[in-house]
Amino acid sequence: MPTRKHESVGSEQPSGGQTPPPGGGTGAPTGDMHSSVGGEGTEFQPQVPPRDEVAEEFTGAPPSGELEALAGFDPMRALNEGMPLHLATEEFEELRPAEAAEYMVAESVCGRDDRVRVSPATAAPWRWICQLIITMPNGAGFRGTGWFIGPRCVMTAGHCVYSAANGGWARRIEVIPGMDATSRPFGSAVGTNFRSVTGWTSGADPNYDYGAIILPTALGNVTGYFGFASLTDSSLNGLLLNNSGYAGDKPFGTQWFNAGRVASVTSRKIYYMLDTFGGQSGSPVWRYSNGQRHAVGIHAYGGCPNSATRIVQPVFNNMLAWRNL
Amino acid sequence: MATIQGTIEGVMETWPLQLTVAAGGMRYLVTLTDATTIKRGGRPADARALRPGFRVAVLGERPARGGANLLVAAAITVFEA
Repeated sequence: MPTRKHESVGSEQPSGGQTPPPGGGTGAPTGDMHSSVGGEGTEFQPQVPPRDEVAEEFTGAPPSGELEALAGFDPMRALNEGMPLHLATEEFEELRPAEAAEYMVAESVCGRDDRVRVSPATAAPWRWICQLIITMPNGAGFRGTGWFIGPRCVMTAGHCVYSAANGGWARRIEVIPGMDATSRPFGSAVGTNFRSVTGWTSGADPNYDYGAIILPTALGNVTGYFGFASLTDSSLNGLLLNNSGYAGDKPFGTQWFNAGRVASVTSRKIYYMLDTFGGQSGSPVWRYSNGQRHAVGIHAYGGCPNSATRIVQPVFNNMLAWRNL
Repeated sequence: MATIQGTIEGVMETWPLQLTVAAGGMRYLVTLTDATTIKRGGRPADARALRPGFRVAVLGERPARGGANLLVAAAITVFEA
């Protein structure tokens, strides 16, 4: 259990045990239980790792056993992304006629909405994914998504744990793994101890939009948790991605899955056309390969293409450090 | 109350949404609430109409603490791209 609620800005190193610099620079008052790790965003040096870095998943040991989950998802659109145009006829069939008076498009559901509900969400990996109920310092409430990477550590978007326009570090975040409508199969835990990086908390730079919730109880030892990986550009290009989270346009507490391919990458972002919606900020974007699941990004932005903060080497290193808290 | 006119740069997918808006040479961090009203083409719209690249006018309150680039949106008018 970390001894300080907040860690302040330091160099781009694992966050445990660092001494806060004067003034912090994060906007967090002294004595708060939050930390921004420095270096991420203070000086940006693009790095493409020479090899893939992988941290393994842990399936978990739920006391009541596992249930198989997820039916009804048609993989064809996701599999056909990037294929020759004549194979993508379903997309054109869903277009509204040009004479329609108004064409309202959800900003992050890209084309046909083929999201599928995950119910129940008690099997891996769905139970590693959590509904977040966020309360900001000004009292504003938000919904987001997080995912376990360790016994106490839930990854999410930076703007889920720190929002300058809402007063800074969140006041509290309730974490509900595997939530399915009114069902809370693993209960919940409330976090008041958060992590992020100065690139987000001081710079509000979307390239550094990631953070974590450190829980007081090791709920991740029951649910299990994701592995994660920092992949090279060549490993990411064309990769089939999975995403699941708690979308705000669906009934509260229901988890929704979609998949697609990597459309493009930058040194810090992964772009894709898989469908997401408000509420899914912080959800995992993962590779499923040879029976292993490794998150490669943290979903954060809509706009078709939608985008995730890419897990690159500095992000990977911070996640390893936070995972062990 | 303050008003800015600018272009949506990013749509952060909490619910309610949070936005980054480029206006007057600054990047504004704009947070929506359940009470934020949105209009598009003179008619009520919902947050699903907000997209990067759209020009918007945002009427909102500046938080008691923090920089001048922060807004809690009371109303957003979408002029589109």
